[in-house]
Amino acid sequence: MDRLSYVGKRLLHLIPILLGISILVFLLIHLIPGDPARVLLGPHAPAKVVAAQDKAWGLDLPLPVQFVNFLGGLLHGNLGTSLTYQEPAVTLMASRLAATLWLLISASILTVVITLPLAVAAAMRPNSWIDHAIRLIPLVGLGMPAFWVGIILLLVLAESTGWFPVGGFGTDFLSHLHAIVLPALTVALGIAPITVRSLRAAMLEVLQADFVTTARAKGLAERRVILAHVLRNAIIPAITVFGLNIGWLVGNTLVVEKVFALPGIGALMLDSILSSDFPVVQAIALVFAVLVVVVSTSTDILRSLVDPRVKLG
Amino acid sequence: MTQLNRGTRGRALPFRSLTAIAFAFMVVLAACGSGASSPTATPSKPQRGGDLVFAHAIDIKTLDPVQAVETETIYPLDMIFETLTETSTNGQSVVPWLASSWDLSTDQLTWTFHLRAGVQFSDGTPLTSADVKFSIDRNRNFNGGFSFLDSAIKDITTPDPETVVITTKYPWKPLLADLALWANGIYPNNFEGKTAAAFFNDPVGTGPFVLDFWNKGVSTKMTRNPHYWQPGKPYLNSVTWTFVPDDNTRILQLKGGQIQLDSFPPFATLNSLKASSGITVQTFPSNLVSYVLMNEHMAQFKDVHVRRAIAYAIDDAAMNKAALYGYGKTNCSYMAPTLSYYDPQTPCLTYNLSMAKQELAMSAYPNGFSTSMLIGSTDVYQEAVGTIVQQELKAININVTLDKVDPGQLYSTLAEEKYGLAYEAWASDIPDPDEQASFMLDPVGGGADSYSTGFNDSQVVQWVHQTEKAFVESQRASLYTQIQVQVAQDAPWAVLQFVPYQYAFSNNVHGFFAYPTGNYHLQDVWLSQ
Amino acid sequence: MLEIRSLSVHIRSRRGVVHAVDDVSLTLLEGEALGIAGESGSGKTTLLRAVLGLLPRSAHVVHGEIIFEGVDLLAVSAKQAREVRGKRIGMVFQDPMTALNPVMPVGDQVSEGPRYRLGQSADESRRTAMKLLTEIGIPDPARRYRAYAHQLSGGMRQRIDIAIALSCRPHLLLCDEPTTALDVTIQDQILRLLKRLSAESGLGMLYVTHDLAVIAQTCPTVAVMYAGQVVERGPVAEVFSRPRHPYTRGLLASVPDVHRIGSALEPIQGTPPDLHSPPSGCRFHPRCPLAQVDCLDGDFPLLSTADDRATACIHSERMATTPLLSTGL
Repeated sequence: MDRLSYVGKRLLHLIPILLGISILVFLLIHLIPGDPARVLLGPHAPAKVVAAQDKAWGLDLPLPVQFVNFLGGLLHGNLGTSLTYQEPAVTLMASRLAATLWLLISASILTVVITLPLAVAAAMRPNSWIDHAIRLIPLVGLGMPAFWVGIILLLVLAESTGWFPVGGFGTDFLSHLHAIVLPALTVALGIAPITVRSLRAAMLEVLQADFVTTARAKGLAERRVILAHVLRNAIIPAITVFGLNIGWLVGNTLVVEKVFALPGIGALMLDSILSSDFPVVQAIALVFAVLVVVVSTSTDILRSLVDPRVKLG
Repeated sequence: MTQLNRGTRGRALPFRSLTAIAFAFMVVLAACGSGASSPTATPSKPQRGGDLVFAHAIDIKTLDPVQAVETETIYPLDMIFETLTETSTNGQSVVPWLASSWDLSTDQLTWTFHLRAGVQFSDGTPLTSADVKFSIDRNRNFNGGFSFLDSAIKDITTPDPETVVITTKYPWKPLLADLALWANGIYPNNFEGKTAAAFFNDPVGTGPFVLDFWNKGVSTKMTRNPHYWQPGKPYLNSVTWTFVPDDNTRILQLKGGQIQLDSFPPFATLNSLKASSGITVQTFPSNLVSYVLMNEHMAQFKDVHVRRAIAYAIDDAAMNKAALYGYGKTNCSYMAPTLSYYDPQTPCLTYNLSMAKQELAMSAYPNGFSTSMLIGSTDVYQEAVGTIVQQELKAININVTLDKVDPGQLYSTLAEEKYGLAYEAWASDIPDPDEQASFMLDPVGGGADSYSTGFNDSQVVQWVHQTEKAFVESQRASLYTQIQVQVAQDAPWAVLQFVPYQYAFSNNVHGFFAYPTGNYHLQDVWLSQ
Repeated sequence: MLEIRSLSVHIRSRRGVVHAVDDVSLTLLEGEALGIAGESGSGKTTLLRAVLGLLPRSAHVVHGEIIFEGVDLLAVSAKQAREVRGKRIGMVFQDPMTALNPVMPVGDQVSEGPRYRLGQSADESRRTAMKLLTEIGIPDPARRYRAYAHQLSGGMRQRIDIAIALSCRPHLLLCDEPTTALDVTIQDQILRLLKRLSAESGLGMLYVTHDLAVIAQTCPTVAVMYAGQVVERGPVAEVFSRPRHPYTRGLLASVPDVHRIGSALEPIQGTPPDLHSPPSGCRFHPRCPLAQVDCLDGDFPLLSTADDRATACIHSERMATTPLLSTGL
């Protein structure tokens, strides 16, 4: 199957996935006790005031009716209106998507930048002190929660040196770039121990492969052997591991967005859940589902680009 | 009342994150390196200009005063829309604001307000009585929000552009305080012909600042209103409220000079912040008091001896130290000391274990019982309070299980009164004790079943109603003393602490002051260069 | 051109040290093809790797010299040793599937040597590779150039593997069972190819296999290895028709022979020894039908005879009279 039709097929699969997620999110959010009107008006607002607000939002209707209304809106591309902000959920989300995408993409790039040299250095001298250091030190990072890593980075690289802004997202491309370095680094430091370990293990395995001996038998420099032969093969499982960790990555952005005051979708999600802002939570869940499918499809395509044996389908 | 107990909300959550302590430690270390702080010599004369950046832990949710419920939304709104009266500095009375004076008829039913001369909206149109009528009527007729505070108003008329006449259904002493409420803020009549939605996207008010942009979830910027009625004010060119949810990040931004004002430094960090150079930490007396509510719809808490036993068993002084780092104050009255008619002589059920045991022995449950305590799951402070209460009540054989729930569920559970004990905090929104009294003590009139406790003392209710009609200060004062004493005896809740508002700001910020009602006047704030 | 003198290689393993190659000496003349026969585990692959200087991390040479074109490869620096690899010594591997990089077009793998070792430009090296592919009989080389290993047949892959080994025009080709994984007909094509290359370009060849028939077809001379040692050496025809070591004889008897249809195969009794602790004396003695008490101790060096043959067996004269399946002890 060629890549284009593969993408088409995966997009088609998205439809039932999205429908399923809509139903699931809708049910979950309505099963959790808590009334958005009550959240907005406070615990001691008179019941009739809360009821009036519910009615204004259509939350007094039976659940199946609400769900049909929700689905109907969905078909028209209408994800509903935020109860908190009184603004279409889509508009609200779109304004927040940029920061999250910036974060995800920069974090992915930084992860690669951190992982490659460390894994190569470790795999080239297995069980040496370099290898042990590279395998152990990031574990400390893995043990530290993201918010803590973020605060330390802020303290060291932003507050005392002034090299980076202390949180915020900036206003134009360059200031976005400047602002995204530390949050992206925080996410990357969280995921790098996993990718370094998996890439190192994969490289050690590939180093045993016959074709590496073939390459060495050509008398190629070790550098060329590692880059052209070992890494290209070892990166394939590492891509898979990275793809599997995307969910975790997305989850982590939630905390990182908070620490770095990034106006991202994770922060919006957290806020919306706490204030029972159903339409926004639903819309974000759908967008995340699309994101995860897009990322995993991209991972598949990337693997098929790197590994000619991979059959898409 | 303003929402002060939301999980994500800052004010009532003085201790939101365990990292705060560790962080405070790091800040101290950093401060050690930066040398001793030298207080900047304060220039005596306000300087004009400068841009203030003010970080909030919670985003601004709406620009419509009648819809605003969170303090982080209300205070910035106050900079756009102003009210007829305004809270005085000590929070115990009102001062003339958009109304420069007023008269009360002898039957105490008709209030005549004279508008301040020369007040203009930010678009240059003059303020008229029609604007006032339109705005207050809109809040009165709003379904929800804080319209209940206007329920005594019968009618508003506008005999001439400079005069507003408000008649009340019955003599209503708290009216002047009610009019100081943000929800009674004034905007142009009929929204200058726009829809409400369009108007609040680009609002026009008489306040010191004009909206520049509202970037939802990121920041809100306001610039100086050139038509502001207070001569020479505001000093600042602009104010920007940024949304920075993480406590530590705000502190770092303050230290790094990225912001000038941190609206909510956790109590755990205050001492170390004080030690760092260039930063001022200030606490302001507030109307905020925290309680352990007891649900009288449950048989155990219907028993006054049980309630008194619990009140005696809780060591609120120790709790203040442990959970508020000593920044709170123990309180005997249910009222905050900042409110008028607060009686410091109110007898207390302070921590006394033998009295607690004695009370329980007199109750129908001398051998104790089991119950649960409702606390918010997103708030470490509430968790600390819950754990301490749990420990202390064990001493009188009351076994408490903690029921941690999300804010949404917390509110429903409280409103439906499906709890035994619950942590709660409350602050008065107006400079008059009436809002709190009717809300907490009058199960029907207050509309909230006495703070969702079911407490119902007909004598107290009667006194509360009398205060609303009492126009003689001494008479009101003695009624409130009676109420405070009686409530302390009845112990419908255990009063925990009186909690101040804490702010941290750069040393070049001058004139910042938080009123006991929580709001601030940024038109008085200036930056030294 | 190649002289291996008393080479011993040890491999560290979990259970101790494996004496994989033990005091092996071999000589290969210019343009000569030498077959090395032996069962798996006899140390023949390790020997080849040692010559190439690509022993696994766990293995090391404990003793000996490998003199190639006048230089001891074991005495030179790692950099100098790498200079020799590819350019002067090429190697063809057993399994052409695993010997090729699965994610790199095969043509690029062929042109890699010329490009990075001979300093050719990208275009030049591509042309060199195309020429090689044509030379070794790959049809439609332009298309095959871009193919990946998994898209080619086994024979085609092995041709590519050979093209890689030859890509820098080496003087010596090391072949490690290059036809074992192939069909018989393909095997034949590959062997013919190797023979032709050897003949045409005066290429020296060390050919390792357990398949005696292949050696018979390819090499004029054979050395038989058992348990890390060479036990017999001589011209192929002579050694195979009149073996002078009981192990060689056993090996020949266990090969199916179309000329002896109906007669049962006669495998060697017992199993090859554990090289962590090889038997003392002649290493073959526990399985040997000729074994005597004097086989149990001492060294058993390869002893040359005047007819250009050599054997390590001290009882070779009794070979003709002793049945295969009996044990002497």
